[in-house]
Amino acid sequence: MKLAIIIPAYNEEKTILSVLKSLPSGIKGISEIVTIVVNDGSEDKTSRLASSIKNATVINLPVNMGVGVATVTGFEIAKKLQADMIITMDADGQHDPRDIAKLIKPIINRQSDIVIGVRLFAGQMPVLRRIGNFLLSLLTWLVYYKWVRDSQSGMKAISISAIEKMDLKSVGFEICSEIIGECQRLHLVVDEIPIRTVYSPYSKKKGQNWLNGINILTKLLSLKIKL
Amino acid sequence: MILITKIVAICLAVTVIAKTYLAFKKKEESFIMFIFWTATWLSIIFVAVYPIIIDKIGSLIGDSRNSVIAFFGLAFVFILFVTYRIYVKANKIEKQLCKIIIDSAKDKV
Repeated sequence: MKLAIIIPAYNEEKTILSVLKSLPSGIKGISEIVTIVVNDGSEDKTSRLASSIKNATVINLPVNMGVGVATVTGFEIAKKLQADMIITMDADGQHDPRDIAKLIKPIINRQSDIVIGVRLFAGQMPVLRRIGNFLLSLLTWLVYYKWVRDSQSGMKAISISAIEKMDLKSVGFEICSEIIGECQRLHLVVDEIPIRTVYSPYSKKKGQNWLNGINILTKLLSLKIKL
Repeated sequence: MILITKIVAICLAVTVIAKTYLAFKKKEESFIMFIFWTATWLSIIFVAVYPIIIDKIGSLIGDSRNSVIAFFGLAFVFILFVTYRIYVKANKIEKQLCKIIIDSAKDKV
């Protein structure tokens, strides 16, 4: 089975190399791993640094479109490369690559279509951000009637057959909620598995702020009413 | 309150006129669009400074009662309509741009 690791990146020169170097070269049940870095119009050295890694396929978007477009681009490339499943990871180093094997296991065993990595917030994240994450999960539930514990997690594994069925239109951070909405619409099997999260001052700074929350709300509503 | 409204309207109008002039000078905007926006915002300044003009126009067309309220009601509806149109248009352009970018990225692999 072929796994595509998709990493959308925007101005991540500080972390992209360490993230790429930490990826596993082999996983039980996987015959081939391809890494796809979608450089979302970065103005720094992200693209050049990612290109220096031998096994990484770097896709450069001409302008900064948003994490939604970067992720969907990664999905399309994975389909073209005939991957059997994908895993998305953030480029800021907050995800632990050791969790990849854990997340793809239910997909290899055909028990799930999508596995969401649930971040363990306790004691690491500021209270305000934890409340924000809860509110966004609540919002996702209100819009799509599907409750997941960490709707905004950037680390998830998805089978390629599930991706082929999805009709994703998101541009920005609302992609996470839209994927959950598509799972609900298509009656896909969703699993949630706790993952380790590395919260450095850098990754905390790069996370979403409350303004993004408002943006996600308006975008989800416009997607819902198909404006 | 009226004085604050006048000041805000004048400041906004001056900013927009200055911006449209700069855009015209950089050849980002046509002469007709520059004249249109300048005339529109000069009219807004005029109405802000002399709101009585609305009543006068109202009496000219036969109904002077509540003409200021009717004017601002119409202006509000017009703004909502324009905002909606711009939102729909921006959304459509965004979708088209996304498609072009994703397709061109796929072609490169």
